[in-house]
Amino acid sequence: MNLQQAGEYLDTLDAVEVEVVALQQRQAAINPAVSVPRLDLYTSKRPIVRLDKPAPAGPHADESSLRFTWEYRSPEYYDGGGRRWWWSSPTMRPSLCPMALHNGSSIVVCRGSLSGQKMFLGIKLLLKRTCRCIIHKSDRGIGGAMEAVAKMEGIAASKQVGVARSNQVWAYVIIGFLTLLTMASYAVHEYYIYVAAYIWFGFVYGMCLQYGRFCFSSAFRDLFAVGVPRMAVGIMIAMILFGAVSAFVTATGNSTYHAAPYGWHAVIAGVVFGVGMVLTGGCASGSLYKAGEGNVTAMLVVVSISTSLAIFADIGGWLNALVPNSWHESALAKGLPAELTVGDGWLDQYLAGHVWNQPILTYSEWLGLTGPWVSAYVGSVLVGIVLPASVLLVVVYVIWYRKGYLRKRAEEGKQHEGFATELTGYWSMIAASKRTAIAGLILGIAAGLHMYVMNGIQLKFGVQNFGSILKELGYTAGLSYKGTVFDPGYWYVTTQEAQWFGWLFNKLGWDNTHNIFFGYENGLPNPLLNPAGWMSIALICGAAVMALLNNEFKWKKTSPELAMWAIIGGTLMGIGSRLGLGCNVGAFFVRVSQGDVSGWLFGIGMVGGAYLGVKFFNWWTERKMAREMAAFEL
Amino acid sequence: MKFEKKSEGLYALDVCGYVCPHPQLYTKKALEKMKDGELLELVFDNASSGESIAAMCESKGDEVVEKNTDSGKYTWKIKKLAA
Repeated sequence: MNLQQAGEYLDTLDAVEVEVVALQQRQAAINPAVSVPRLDLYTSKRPIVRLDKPAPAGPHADESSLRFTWEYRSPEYYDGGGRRWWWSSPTMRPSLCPMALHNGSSIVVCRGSLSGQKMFLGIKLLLKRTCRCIIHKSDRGIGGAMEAVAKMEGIAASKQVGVARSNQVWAYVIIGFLTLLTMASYAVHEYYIYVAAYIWFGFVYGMCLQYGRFCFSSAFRDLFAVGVPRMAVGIMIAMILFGAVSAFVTATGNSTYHAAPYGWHAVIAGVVFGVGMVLTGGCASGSLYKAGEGNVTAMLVVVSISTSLAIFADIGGWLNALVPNSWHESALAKGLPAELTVGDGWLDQYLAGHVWNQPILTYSEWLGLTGPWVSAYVGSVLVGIVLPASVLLVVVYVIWYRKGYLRKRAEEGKQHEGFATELTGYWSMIAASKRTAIAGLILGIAAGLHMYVMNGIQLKFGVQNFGSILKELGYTAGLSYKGTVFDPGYWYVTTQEAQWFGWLFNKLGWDNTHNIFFGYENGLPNPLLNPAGWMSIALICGAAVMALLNNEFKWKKTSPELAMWAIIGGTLMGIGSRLGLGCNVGAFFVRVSQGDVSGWLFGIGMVGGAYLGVKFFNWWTERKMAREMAAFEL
Repeated sequence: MKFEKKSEGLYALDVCGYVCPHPQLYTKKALEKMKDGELLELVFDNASSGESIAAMCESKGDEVVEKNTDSGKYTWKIKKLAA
């Protein structure tokens, strides 16, 4: 390898450009012209290669004293089809790139800031393929370029580039399974398009959640725990987008949403749920997407929430003693079917005797707005979401973000006071995590479209609820007394989880259909015929596909400590979501986005619960750290 | 969880196997205990914690000097800086 000497020699010549001729080899694994960029690293001259010009042959070229050689050794990480390549030259023209990229390279290293970036775009255009590019910012000659190469090789070595083959296969298997299911069920009956719509929206939700690591739990918890506003911002963005899209759906009379009663119960439910979600480490939707990443603890959380929901929905006995007599009386006075035994069971008496007596209010009603467009956009979106979200983000900015931002500005020698600076700081907080913001954006739009699509399908088939379809198809088992099954028409998480385990308990012999939750409202359909249940399964699948394609899927087993938190927290989340008639998605995200007053109440509760949960974990962490630190002096 | 002193000014924290919020909480606590300029070698395998830890360091003024990833396992070097 005498490229370096060749480069040094070229530097002694009195010329700006040197033409390099790549001689054809009798045996060559690669195009010999790829040695040119390497030569370029060692010389300040501008090498020119003319690929279209035939190389001179014969003894003259072979024996020339200006001949240099470079032995190419393929490093280990290029195995598997030579997917990576590096290229460094400030003078290289895009037309030369196919030579370097002939093996389907996925990395290009460009030296030089602007020219490098421009060149990379040229390469992309030329090859019409996605390359990963590391642009070496400052042009510091060989040293700088070598540094960039080393950086790239580090990345290549850590196997960050390129998706493992087995991952790709699994991703295709999952997508193939859902596609096949969609087509096969449609072939059986066109009614199943109803389930397919839930499936594919669930799939999109899963992909977004995983991509943005979108976790409601961390939104509240990380503020108190580590002072990080990333997720809180992401959720506000998603809610504003969801609100804006679904306001259109509502204004055109296509909404599937029904407002929920509001009152203290929503706040208390939020607190219980909030403590639970800090203990488990993920909210109801977060646990689903993490289950898709191969996280066994998250799977345990899902099981724990589901079990607790299923039990809590029917349990009476000594819990009946906790119900105030007025609730009991009021529940009996509702005149519900006698089979329901409304007077027995904690949740029944809570629902029929208390929650149903609470008022229902949307922001547009509160403001006395009339007209579909005004109430949707002014009432729900502006007053219901944008104003409170902006105010909340100002609070978050002042408490958790401002100080760090201003300090950084001061360090960089930029202006660090004044209203304009505060405004840029506010914006920089919002734009800080692009991934989260993008996920929130797509999630919000998808959630709004979901309502629109479900309503369209209901209109097409002339039904209000999937229960009618099941009846027509001849499946009457598991329908509620009203002939319905759970079919929210939008994103929801916990009720279908309750149904999975409720159905299982029912098959095991627990007669749990004499209550409002399963018996009167949601039914206990076979999980294979549960549209909302399929949405959650598809959500897990979507998250798994996204994780596989980003090399982030990993089986992660649980530990006794984590399993304990998962079970305790999951149980609390189950109880909280029954009290609040929904989880972080159904009771908070959806209700806020629909301009329902009860949404923020549940949210306030969740913030309080998260605060308490973090207080507890702070104490717990401190205790464990102290034990570790006993071994050494700081 | 393992927190140890490797040498003067260099600490190692291993929170592999933990899910949110434990890795970020332990990291925060460890950095709080350390002195300015000292280095923490952090190993964790919960991807979403990485987002929070990076943002936390950014806002506190600590510097993530090195980020290495090996099949789902993250090894970061964090230098505590005076705020």
